[in-house]
Amino acid sequence: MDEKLLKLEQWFIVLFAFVFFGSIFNAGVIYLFEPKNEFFFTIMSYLVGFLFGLVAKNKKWGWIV
Amino acid sequence: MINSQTYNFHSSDLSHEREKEIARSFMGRIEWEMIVIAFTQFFVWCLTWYLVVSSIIPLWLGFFISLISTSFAYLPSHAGQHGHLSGKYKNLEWVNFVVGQISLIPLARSHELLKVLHMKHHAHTNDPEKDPDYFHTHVDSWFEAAMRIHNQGSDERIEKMVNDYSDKDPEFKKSIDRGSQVQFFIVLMQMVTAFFFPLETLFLWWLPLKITTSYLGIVFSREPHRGLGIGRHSDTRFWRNGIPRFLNHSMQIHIMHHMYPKICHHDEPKAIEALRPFMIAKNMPGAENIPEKISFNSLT
Repeated sequence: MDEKLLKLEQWFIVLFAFVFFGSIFNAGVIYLFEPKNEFFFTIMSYLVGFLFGLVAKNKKWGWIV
Repeated sequence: MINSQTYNFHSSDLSHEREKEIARSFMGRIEWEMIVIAFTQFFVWCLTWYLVVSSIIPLWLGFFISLISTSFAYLPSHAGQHGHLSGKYKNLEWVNFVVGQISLIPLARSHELLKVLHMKHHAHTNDPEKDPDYFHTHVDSWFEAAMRIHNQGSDERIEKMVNDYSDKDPEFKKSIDRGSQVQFFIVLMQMVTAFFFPLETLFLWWLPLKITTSYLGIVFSREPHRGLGIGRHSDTRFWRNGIPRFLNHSMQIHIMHHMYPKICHHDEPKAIEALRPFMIAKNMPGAENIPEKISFNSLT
């Protein structure tokens, strides 16, 4: 049980980056570039957020939370 | 209450009993100033959110207001951690948690989590095996202190420390578990807020809390403790940095807090004036530089 909880804790940083930074990247891109295809950039922003979370998990970047 | 006027500096009685007697005269009151600071900074922070979201003030202005108000968020919780918000009144102990936790919302931290770790910091100051603050206090530069304090939650050495304490002390473990739940809830709130108000969350919450946490790591942790060893009279220093003490939250006299943590933050100037001869006699780090008057001295 404890190990499962630990795994969940470790993956939470990925979820956090996906939602938190994905939303921020998305808003930043729309604010700065006003793209015509907003949907594409939204998908890309959340993908970058997710990848950022994976890097943070592997590198143990607790500072992002 | 004893102060520098009533206490004879040239008294030859520098015994530990006399020191404790003087220190006790500064303890026990409710530190109402911290309660005012807690609610004021939280109100300013909420108001800033409202003004920015309603487009009454620009985001950049909101960021600067939030940065200043958030820098006042930790001390009320710290006062609560030491029981200063309830003073000697046992029936008011709940005030320490409630006010402490409300004050910490802009810093997105759990009061209980910070409290149990801070108590270990006091019990084992500067001990590399037992002090949770050690890894951002005993570093070579401000930059390292500012960066490392953000990694406390993912530092394996601190994780080991917390596990060791949890194995030995069930009450500590309970507090860590309860505090972690509160912490999780606040971070969840940040995620939800970021989804609906992304740039506002970045500039009014996340960035101010990160900058303030770095400031805390440098001014509250590293400067008073860096390079010092273990021991109640040798683990904290009196220091100056050219900035008036009011702009440093009076952390220059943090030495007083480690000597007697039960003395309220706002009474420390008077207490350090009265206890100065004892501090000099005990060769406390920097004690020889403590001026006779501190109350209205900016300590630049």
